[in-house]
Amino acid sequence: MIDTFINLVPITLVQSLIYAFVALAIMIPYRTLALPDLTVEGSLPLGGCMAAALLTAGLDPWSGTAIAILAGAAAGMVTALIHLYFQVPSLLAGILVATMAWSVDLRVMAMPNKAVPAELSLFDWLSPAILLDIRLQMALLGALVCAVLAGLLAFYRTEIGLSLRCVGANARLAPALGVNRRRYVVVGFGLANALAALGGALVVQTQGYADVTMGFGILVNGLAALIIGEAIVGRSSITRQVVAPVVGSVIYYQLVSLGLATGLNPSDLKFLTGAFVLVTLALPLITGRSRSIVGT
Amino acid sequence: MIAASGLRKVFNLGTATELLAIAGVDLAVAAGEFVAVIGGNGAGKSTLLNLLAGDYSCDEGTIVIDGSDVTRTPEHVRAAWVARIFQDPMLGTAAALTVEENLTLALMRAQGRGLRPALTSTRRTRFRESLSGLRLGLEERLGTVVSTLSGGQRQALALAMATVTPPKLLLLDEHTAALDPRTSELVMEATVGIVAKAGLTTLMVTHNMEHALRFASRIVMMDAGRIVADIGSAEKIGLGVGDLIERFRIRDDRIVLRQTRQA
Repeated sequence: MIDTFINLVPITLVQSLIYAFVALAIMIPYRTLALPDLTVEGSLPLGGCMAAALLTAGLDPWSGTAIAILAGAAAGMVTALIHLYFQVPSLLAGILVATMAWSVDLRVMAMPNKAVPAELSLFDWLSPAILLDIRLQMALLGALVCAVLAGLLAFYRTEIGLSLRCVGANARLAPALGVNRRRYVVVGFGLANALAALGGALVVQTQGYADVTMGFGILVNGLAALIIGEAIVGRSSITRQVVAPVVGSVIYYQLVSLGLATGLNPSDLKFLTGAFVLVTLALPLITGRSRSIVGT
Repeated sequence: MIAASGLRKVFNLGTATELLAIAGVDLAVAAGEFVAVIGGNGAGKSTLLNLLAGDYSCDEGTIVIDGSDVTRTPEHVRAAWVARIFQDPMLGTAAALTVEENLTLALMRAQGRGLRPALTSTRRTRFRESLSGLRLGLEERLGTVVSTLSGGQRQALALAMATVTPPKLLLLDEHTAALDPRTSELVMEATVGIVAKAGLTTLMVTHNMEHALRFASRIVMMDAGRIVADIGSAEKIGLGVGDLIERFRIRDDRIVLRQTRQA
């Protein structure tokens, strides 16, 4: 049983590095804007389905992936605009957009799932060896995640990035300091869902197909990864806050893999993940500790 | 020069809880004037400050700052000219950010923002200088997260933030009321020092009559959404806390009020 797990470690690592983008996409609005967003449940499949449709239609993988990312950013911005201008709670706005994205996915692909041959993918464009060698995938995705982390950290340290964090840290103070709160919420939601869509486009190009249901339950997985990461890395500084979702994602998917290898029924997984998130949310209230990992 | 004329603000218009918060306020404040705004609870002092800051939009009237009409200018744009310190120390600073990050945000209030690195050594030097004037040791704690500071330190930081670039109008909303008496004095003295040094045009809401008499160059008394007394520096001389309280009690006496207005 443990052998199965150990054999799966590299594949799981590749998977977790891609889903790290989802955990990042949950962290950005939730932690740095203090506004929970669940558009990721729609922007990940949107990115995946857009990429699948565009690549199979003959577009080069760079442009296809780029357009998929832009589609995700647009979905996030629409959520933010619905929240800001129609005063719909951000969670409900996200559900609306994610639900509507489902129909867009079906329209874009014209079918519920679509095969994406390996030779059309970004990885194959870089080198045909990548999709055949799991170590190359690990190295490539590891480098990509590190590059995105470095970019995010640099962004959060710019004047605009700091202003975005001010919106999350004190929404009342932000306008008094000249920060246009609405603009920053739109930017933050767009950025987060662009990352989720990038994750979707990469999933499709590694597994070789897109499916409109690929986003189902992704939010809770990402949230669980974020919670685990913050428990380990902490979130006392912006560096820790940005690194935490990636660390959490890597550990969460290994834990899931370990569970499955030791006989856990895959159909019980969503219940257990949900229960885990619930316990971490409820624990500080039950034990009466004021400083919670999940506190707002 | 700040000129507010014919300001009116009604909350919850057309509902059972309708409230006329500002019922026609005309107020002209000359550059460099330090105006204390006093009055009972619900007199409209804080609402007036919120209207000037752009936090609320006014139903009627105009607000002009240095010749430009800002009546319809949103709060985040007006922030380039108007700085304010809230009563609640939690409100005036971003708790999860560090001292230097808070000051950088305040610096950008007037300067705008770009994709440049937010924290630079030039800025740190500048922050250290402006914080050392407060004599609270904050200049040694630039990297400290604000949530670990005391209420007084946070309010002193809010003061440094509001004045790091001199605003055209400084609004103080009972900014020392939530502090213990000693810290309150300390923050008040630092405020007066900075205001005098930079010659800032200041509006200070306060319940502390002694502060109003000692530090302000002019005292404006509000009641039921109106300015009911306007005491200039000449008339202020010789007035004591007792006299002010006296005027509070007799605020319904129309004759006395008319006399005050003419003065």
